[in-house]
Amino acid sequence: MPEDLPSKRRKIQPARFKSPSFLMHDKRLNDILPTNRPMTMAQSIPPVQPSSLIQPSPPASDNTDLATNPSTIPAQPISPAQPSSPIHPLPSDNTNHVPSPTRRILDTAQNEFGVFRRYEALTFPTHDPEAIINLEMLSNLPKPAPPITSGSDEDGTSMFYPYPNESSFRLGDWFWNDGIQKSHDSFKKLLAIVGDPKFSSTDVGATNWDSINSQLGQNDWDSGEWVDEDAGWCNSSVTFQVPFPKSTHDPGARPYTITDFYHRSLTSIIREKLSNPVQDPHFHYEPFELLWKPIGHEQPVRLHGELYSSSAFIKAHNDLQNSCAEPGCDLQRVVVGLMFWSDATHLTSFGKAKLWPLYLFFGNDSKYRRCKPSENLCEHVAYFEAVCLFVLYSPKLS
Amino acid sequence: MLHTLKQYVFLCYIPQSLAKLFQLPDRFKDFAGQYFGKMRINSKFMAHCQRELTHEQWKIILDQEFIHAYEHGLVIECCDGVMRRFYPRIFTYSTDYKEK
Repeated sequence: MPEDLPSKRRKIQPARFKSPSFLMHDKRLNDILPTNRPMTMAQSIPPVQPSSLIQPSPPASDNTDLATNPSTIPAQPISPAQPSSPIHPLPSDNTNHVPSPTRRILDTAQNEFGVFRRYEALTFPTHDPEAIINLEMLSNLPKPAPPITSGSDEDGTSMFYPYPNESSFRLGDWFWNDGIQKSHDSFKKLLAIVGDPKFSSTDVGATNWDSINSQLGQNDWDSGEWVDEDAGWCNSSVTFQVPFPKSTHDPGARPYTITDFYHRSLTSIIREKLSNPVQDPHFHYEPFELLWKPIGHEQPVRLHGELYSSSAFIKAHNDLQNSCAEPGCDLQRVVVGLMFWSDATHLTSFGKAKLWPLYLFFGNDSKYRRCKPSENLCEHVAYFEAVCLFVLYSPKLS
Repeated sequence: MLHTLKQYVFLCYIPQSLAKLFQLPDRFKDFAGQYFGKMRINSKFMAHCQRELTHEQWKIILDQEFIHAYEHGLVIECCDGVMRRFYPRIFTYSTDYKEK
């Protein structure tokens, strides 16, 4: 890939796209690009085996037996570009020798929609985050809630803790969450709760409401890990120079300090992210161009959508690969795409409690995943608490 | 509308809350008022101070450890058992910069 590509739109197609020397497979393959029809998307697909990536392609087999016949699959998506490419000198087709450090253009096979990926690398990546995608991950539909079989867990605590049973929970939920004013609508909701055949007045009568409400008011995190520096939060003070103009009676710069600036270490967030067995499998280590070759068209069309398939990311990746490696280090070098986001956030309907949080997203994650509401309730409850924590400090913020 | 947007943000799957940036507190005006006396504190002065404060906070966030990682990479053992060297790069920053 030329190094001086403009980061925005390219009106002129790179010369390599016009080269007739690329070998495009037309086999139907779904082990690299998970873009099957939804009916088959939930099917688990074996990961690409690195050892078999450089084997010659066996004859195409029907893609319905992927799970039962994994040995024939990994080689199919691979079609190394022909050695005649003028931009990228390629090793010979003898795939048994050690690849030279020169990167090649590697096209995966097209899937049934004619979409394929183009990597510039020594070999195809061994880590394919999209191989593990299934229909559930792409869908916005919430998971079916597990059936409520009994009022308590195995360890005897109520599922509706701190409420002892469902009737009390629904009543408490109505009391706290259904607005601060009485309304017809709210009254009807109350009637629906009380009129439900499952509602039990004896359950509600035995509930100690004062105790529950005081439990709700306590913050478990007051002495918890959120304020612990080991959890990554640091407390610093910020000093800056305030320039007083000549028109004031004492012009010049004066330092001004604000204490209790809470922040986390960026490197620790990156380490945590990549060591997390839930997050790491979805992390794209290598960028690629996503291309679409409609039937009957000579030239593929570039598809845009994700940061890790953008020109900016590919340029950053190539710049990194072309730079000098750390002495004595032959580890794979990977770009971590940081996307910062911040906005002033009002915390309450009344008053001035206001935060200006700074968030970080990883561009190596799919945008569909980044913006998907959490399925894990604990995850964002904990997150919401972190925000609430700073309400405690808000006298200094507001 | 804003409320809905906020809720959506809070529900987002993997936001890493990184820092709570400060805006200038009210008591800053008291501090500045000592020097300005009866003069009105103009908005350009406040905007300048807010920007200075934002930049100072960013200097703390982009610490030496991060700059070292930016230049020399960060060796991390991934969950597939492979050691890789990671180089952070900043691609986007969406924010409301304080013009006022």
